[in-house]
Amino acid sequence: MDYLRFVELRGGSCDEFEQALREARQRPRAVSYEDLEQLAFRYRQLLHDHALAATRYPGTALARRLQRLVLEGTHWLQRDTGEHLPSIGRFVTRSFPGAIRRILPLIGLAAGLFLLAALFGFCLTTVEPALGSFFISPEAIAELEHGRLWTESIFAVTPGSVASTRIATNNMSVAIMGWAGGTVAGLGALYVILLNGLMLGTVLALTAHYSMAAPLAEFIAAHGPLEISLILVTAAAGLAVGRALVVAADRPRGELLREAGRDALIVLLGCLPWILLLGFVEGFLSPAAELPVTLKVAIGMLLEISFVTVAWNPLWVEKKG
Amino acid sequence: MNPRRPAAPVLGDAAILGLDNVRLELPLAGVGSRTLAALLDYLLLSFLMILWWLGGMITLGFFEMGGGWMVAILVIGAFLVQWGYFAVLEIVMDGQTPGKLAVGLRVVSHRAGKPSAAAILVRNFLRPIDVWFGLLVMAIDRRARRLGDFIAGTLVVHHREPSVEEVRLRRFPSGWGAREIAVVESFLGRAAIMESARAWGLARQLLDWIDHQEPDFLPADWTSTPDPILTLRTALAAENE
Repeated sequence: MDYLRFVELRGGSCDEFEQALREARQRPRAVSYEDLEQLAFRYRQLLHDHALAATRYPGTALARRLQRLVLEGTHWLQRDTGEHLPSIGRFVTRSFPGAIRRILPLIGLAAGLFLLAALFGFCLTTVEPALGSFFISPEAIAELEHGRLWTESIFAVTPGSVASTRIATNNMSVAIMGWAGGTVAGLGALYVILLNGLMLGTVLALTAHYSMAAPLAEFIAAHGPLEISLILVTAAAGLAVGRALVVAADRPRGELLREAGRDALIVLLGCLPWILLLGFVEGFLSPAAELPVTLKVAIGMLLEISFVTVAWNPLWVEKKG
Repeated sequence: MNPRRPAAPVLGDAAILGLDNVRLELPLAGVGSRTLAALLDYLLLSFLMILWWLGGMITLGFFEMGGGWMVAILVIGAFLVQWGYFAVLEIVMDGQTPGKLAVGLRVVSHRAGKPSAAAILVRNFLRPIDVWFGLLVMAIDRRARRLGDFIAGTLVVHHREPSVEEVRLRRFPSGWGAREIAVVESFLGRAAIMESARAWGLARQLLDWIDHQEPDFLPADWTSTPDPILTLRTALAAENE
């Protein structure tokens, strides 16, 4: 077929498709099923015209127009359905527990490394308390020497509302950073796990050195367990992305990365509301001297059990096929 | 080539296989245009953050409204603007942000379709890492993807309406193939924005060339035409798309 004949036969279909696509884009809700089917049919015809024009008449005005329209049509008509975020109910009951189960070995690895780092930090600081200054400011150590936790002075001058929002937003930023750090072959996530473990061990040893371990335990009783769980789970999600980047597998790496990235996003989104809740607990309940220790411990346990129940969802059943 | 293995279909860096395995050449955005768009966006983001904090402080200082809760709202707002700017705008603006819109870029899925909200969230939550490594990764990758694009399965392409008019020929000398048609169509499309003396000179050269190829194709008086571009358009029955 020569160029002029091709233009004569197929040029009109470009105009029709362009018009139909413009109308559909302007009022997407008004597009009926029949309209959409017709648009998809025209798109398919256009795609084949484009293939012919790109091979036989490359660079011509019609070939360029066909390419532009095909790309527009692809963008509007094609969506990767497998990558949609599910509804909130389905997300909580199925997607989040499913993603948690898939990264469970990595959560175990993160927990093991965290405990090791904490033990290392604890032993090191117990032997040499001066090492505590790596993680705790001299002012905070001075407070410990006077028999006070550094948190007391912070919460004495900062209103609970401000403290809780700052803690929550800061923790969310840290969680996202740890999660995102997984993309650097998992190194960022490892850094977050080891640093937090080391910090916890060091702080525990230092407060024990100044006989302040009990007040510290009282302060962290309500928020500590869940905070550690959330750090480990989000970092494990980051490790999953790092694993997909590094480990050799039968399937293409790009595909594995997209899959791991989606799982990691589900885990992160599932954890963010808990981090928000934790900010409230840490800002209002943890520093409240009027609350009895037993109540703080109960709140901490309740939060931890609730998170584990939602994350694990004992009723979750793997979908066959 | 290994004779025992069938040759793999040649799919360039910028090409993907669309529906029915039709090859689609994507106008991929390079490091330069992507960096420029990001710079514009970060400038706008900084401006928004300054406005937010300034507005909050004025409200707090002059009107003494809210106290601790006002500060809390300011902190939450700043957090949402910082983390939500790119993600929310890319979802709402069909894969674009103000910076991308200015430079003419758009985020698409790895199949050139509309990226899902999940993919957009993933690519934007990974932005803090890409601030450090993104430029290097984009420079190395043949599709100029940053880490966020790798994980989310997205690409950034040029998206802009044609800046010159598209001209289509309805008539041409019998020996012409796609290459000749493409060259003349491209010239006639750009003639209006070219320096007129140069455009006229080129049009005259093309008329000479056509006359040389097929002497009866042009009108007899074409050499005395006052406007060679118009003569070329008329002779080739050129029309705008």
